[in-house]
Amino acid sequence: MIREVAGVTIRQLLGRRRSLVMALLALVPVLVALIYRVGGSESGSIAGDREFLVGLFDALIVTLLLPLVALLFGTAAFGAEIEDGTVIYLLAKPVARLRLVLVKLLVSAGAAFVLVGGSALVAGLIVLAGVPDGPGVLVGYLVGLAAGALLYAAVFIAVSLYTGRALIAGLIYVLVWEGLLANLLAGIRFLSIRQYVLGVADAAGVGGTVSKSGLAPEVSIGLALVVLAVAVALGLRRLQRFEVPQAD
Amino acid sequence: MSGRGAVPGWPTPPALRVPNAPAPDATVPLAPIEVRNASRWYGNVVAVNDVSFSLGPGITGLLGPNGAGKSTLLHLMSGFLRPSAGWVYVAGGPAWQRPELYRQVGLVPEREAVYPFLSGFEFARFNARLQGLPDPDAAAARAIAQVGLGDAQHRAIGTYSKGMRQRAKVAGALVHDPPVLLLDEPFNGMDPRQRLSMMELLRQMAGEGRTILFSSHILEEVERLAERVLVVVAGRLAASGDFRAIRKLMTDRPHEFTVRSSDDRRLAVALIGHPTVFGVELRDGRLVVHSADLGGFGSAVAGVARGCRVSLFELLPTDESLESVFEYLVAR
Repeated sequence: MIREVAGVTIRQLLGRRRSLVMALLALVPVLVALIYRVGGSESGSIAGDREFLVGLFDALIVTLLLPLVALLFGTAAFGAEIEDGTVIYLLAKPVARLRLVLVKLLVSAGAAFVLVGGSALVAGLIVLAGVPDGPGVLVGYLVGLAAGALLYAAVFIAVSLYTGRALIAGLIYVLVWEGLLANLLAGIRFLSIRQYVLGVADAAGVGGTVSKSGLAPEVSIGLALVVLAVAVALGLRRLQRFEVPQAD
Repeated sequence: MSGRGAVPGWPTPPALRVPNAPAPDATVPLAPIEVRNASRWYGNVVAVNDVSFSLGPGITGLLGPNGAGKSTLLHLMSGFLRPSAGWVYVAGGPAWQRPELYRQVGLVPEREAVYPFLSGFEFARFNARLQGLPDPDAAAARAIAQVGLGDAQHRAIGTYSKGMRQRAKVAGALVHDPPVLLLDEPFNGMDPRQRLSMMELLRQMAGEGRTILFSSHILEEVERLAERVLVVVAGRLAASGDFRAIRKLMTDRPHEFTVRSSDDRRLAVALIGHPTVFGVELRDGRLVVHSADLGGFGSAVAGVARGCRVSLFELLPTDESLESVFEYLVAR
């Protein structure tokens, strides 16, 4: 059962033209890292490399690439099937709805992590060559990205089950809420997945703090678990009560 | 099978009209499909209004014009819509929020989309695996053979014709050998040969004791296949029962024809004397004839015209759309 659902989901996610766009997006951090390595002014100083990497990860990968890729995969996990009506073939089966939600979540989060984590790994290796605590920093970020992929995907899957405009809702959340308001209003960081990602990266970073998170690691982990559980529960609730759109 | 009489016209707000039916008594065995006072509305729009019937083994046609509520009814029965009032029981339990239902129900939705990247065989196997069947490959092969898709089974569904896609959907619904089959417009897009073989397949499956319900807006399809029929108009059950009885109601209803001839007045005088005609009028310069006997009038009119030496130029039924047939049934 799991293999079939996962297989169909992967083919749906990757068969779309948007996956090409995402692959191109994932190349951007690698290109930036290359340009830095080849001609960057501070290239060579260990502190400079570390600073640049944290900047690259915070500004580009955690703030933009991860949420956008997870948004596209998460909203398409059920959304694409709801849109074209094929979700009926999935739901007209004696399969526990929780299993369906979890399989879709793992597949979309996994796909997002492969793309974003792969990009981060390559970019990180390019920038960090020669930095002593480089691998530790990189491991911290990769764990943070894995947690972030799971969180964003769970939230966007839930949103896609409640509205057909999940993509727009998700974009507003990522760009306005996390990108704009969270920087202006300090209190919002408690309700920002981006802050949880940075907090988890800190917690997992070998050799101390790696990011510029506004939240303590344990707070981040706790809030992340709560958000994950709530998103899965809401998505499940909606799927258990799934109704086909009005046809006639 | 029992159906409620229908009241013409748009219903008043449903919350005031539709009582909650008593829950089915657990000690009384339920028919495979049991619908009691079921309604479904969207805001102020009533899609299905206080419909009751029960269906047992055999083929039943769900007939009605487009937009009458056929799909809504099928979605209520397949657990994809919550009844706003009343009960919908299928295969021994409520249809809504009961995934176990699908072990006993095969569903062919109306929407055409099927995973385009899967082959017909892969789609059938996908369904078999999600049903948890012990040998999904064998079940898929059997279902593919049943719908006659053997030659194209390894081609991607995206390359299929409309009729082939329809058959792939049916294969997916048959793969677990369900005792109840719900099909929403299953003949859409099929050519006459495919239509015949699908009808044959459904007859054979009904012969094995399955309960099959299919929807259609085409009278002839229902006539050729269904033993029983449910006629739905504007969300209400307008008629239900043996198909022949309903067909007779439909053909015995008053028919209206417009006639053009070399002398309309003389023809009118001759026609009013004929037993199949109960009224003639000259309306907008045309002769309009009312008859209650469709076949009798059709075969008599040429002879009557010849008898009074009038040349017949044109004979047109004015109200033969399915909608007018349904309107008549509702008004009765």
